[in-house]
Amino acid sequence: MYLIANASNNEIVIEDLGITLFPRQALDLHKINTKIKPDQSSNLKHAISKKAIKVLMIKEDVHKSVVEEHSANVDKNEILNELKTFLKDEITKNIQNIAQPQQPQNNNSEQIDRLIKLVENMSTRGLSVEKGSSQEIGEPEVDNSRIVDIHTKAIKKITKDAQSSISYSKEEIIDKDFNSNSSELDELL
Amino acid sequence: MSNNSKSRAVGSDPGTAFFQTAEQVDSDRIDIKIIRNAFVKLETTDDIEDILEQNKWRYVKDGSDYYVIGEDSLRVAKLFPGKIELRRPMQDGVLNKNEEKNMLVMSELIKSSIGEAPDDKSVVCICISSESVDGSMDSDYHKNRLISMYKKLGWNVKVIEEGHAVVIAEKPSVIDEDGNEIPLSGIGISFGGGRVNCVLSYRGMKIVGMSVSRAGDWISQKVAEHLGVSVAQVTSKKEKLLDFTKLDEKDNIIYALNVYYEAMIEHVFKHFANKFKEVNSGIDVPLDVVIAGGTSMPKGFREKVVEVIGRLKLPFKIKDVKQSADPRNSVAKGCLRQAIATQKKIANSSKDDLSKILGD
Repeated sequence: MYLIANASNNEIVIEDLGITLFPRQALDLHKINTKIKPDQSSNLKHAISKKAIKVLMIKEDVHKSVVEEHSANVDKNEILNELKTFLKDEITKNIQNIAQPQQPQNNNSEQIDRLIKLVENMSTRGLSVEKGSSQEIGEPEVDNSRIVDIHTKAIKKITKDAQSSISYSKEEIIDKDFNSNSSELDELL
Repeated sequence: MSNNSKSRAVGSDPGTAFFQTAEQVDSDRIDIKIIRNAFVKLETTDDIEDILEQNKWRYVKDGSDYYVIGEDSLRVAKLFPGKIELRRPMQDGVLNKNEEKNMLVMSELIKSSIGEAPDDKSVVCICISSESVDGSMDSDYHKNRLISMYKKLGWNVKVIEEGHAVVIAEKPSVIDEDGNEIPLSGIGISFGGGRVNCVLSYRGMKIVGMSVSRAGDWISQKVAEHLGVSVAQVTSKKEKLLDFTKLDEKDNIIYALNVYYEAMIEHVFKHFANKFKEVNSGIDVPLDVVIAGGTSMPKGFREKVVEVIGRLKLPFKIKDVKQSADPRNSVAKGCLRQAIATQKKIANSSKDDLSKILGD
C-alpha cells in the first residue's frame, strides 16, 4: 500500500505518474496503474516536500506492473495534416451545396463566393491558435486575508456602540480520556 | 494544559441552536459555556434597564436598542406571543444573511464568552460546516465573517470542519491489514439543529466532508407542519420524551418524529455515500462511525442509526457505530483539542510559519 492524500485545497497533477488528485482526495498508488513507480516520481517527491501531498501509509506489497506507454508507429504531424485536409474538403463541399443553381441568382451568390474564398483561405492557412492570443479569464482573485480584513472593519463598525451583559450556563466536565495519547494527537493534528 | 501559562487555547462551536465554548482547566477538567443562539428586540422604554436588571435578563445594547439573548429570549417571546419575534443569528448552519442584527449578536456572544486574547500565541479553534450537498450555502461569507469576529479580539484562529471536530474528540481508530491501529481514523457525524455534518478522517486528516440541511430543526418543522401543531410543542417532546427504545406510537408526534428521524439518517448516509464515491477515496478498511450533536441525544439513537444503515448499500464498510458519551459537548471538545495542538505548534514556530499552521 502506498497511500497518499492531497493536503491542499487545489487539484494536484503528478505528471510523471499520470494522476490527478482532487482537493483532499486520498489514493493508494499501488492499486492503480502508474507510468512509473511512486518511488521514482520526482513530481511526487516535490509535492511531498512542499507539503501539498501527505504520505499516509507505505507498506511493501506487490506493486502492479508498470504499464508500458503505448508506442504506435504513427507520425502525429501526418494525422494533423490528414485532419486539416478532411475539414477543408467538408467545409468546401457544404458551402458549394449551399451555392447550387436552384438557389435564386441574386446578391447572395456574390456573398457565397466570398464565403468560399474565406473558407479556402482559412483551410490553407490552418486553424491554429496563435501564441499570445487572449485566454479566458476567470473571476478576479483576492487574497483571503484581505477579505477577512474587510470583514473585520465591517464588524468593528457594526459593534462600535455595542455593550452587553451576558452570562452563560456553565458546566465543568471531567474527561479523564481528554489528554490520552496527547503527544500522538499533537503530531497528527 | 498549555506550557505557556499566559497563552490560552479555546474551542468554540458557533451552532445554529447553541453557541458553545470549551477551555481546559487542568488535565482532566474542561469548562464548557453554553448559551442558546437566539434573541429578541425589546421596545425601548424609559425604564428598560430597570426591567432588564430586575429580571436578570441577558442582553446586548446597541445605541438605544436592546436585544435580550439566550434562554431569556425564549421567555420574553413566550410572554408576548405574536408581538415579539424570536430571531436567530444563524440559520441552517451559517450566519443568517436575512437577519441584520446577527453580526452584532454573534460578535457580542464571542466577546463575552472568550474575551480578548491575552497574547499573540493564543489560539481559538472554531468549526464550520462542510460543503453542502443538498442546497447552496454561502460558506465563504460565513467563515470569513466568523474569523473576523475572533481576530478582532486578537486571537489566532484555526478553522476545522464540524464532523472533523467529532473525530478529534471521540478518537476513533481503524485496524489495518497488519493489525496496526491507525488513530483518528473513521467517520465523525455531528447531528446538529441546523445541519448534519459528516467527515471521513484518516490519521487525523480529513479525506471526505459534507453537510446537509435536513437536521434537528427540519424534523421539528416537518412534524409540526404535518400535524398542525406548534414547533415548540414538537421540540419539547423531541427533547424530553422521545425514546427510540420504547416508542409510543399512539402518540402522533412521537410517531411522526420517528419517521422523520429515519428519513434524516437515510438522507445523511445516502449523500455521504455519494460524496465518498465522488472523491474516489482509496480507503477500504472497516470504519467506525462516531455520532454526536444535540439531535443525536434521544435514547436509542445509536440503535436507530444501525437499523437505518442496515437497509442501505454503502460503498464503505462499517465496523461499528459508537455514540459519544457527551454528545452535546463533543464538537466543542474536539475544537479545544485542536486548539491545544495548534497552540503548541505556534509556541515552537516563528511568525513566518503562522499562516501555514493556521491553514490560511
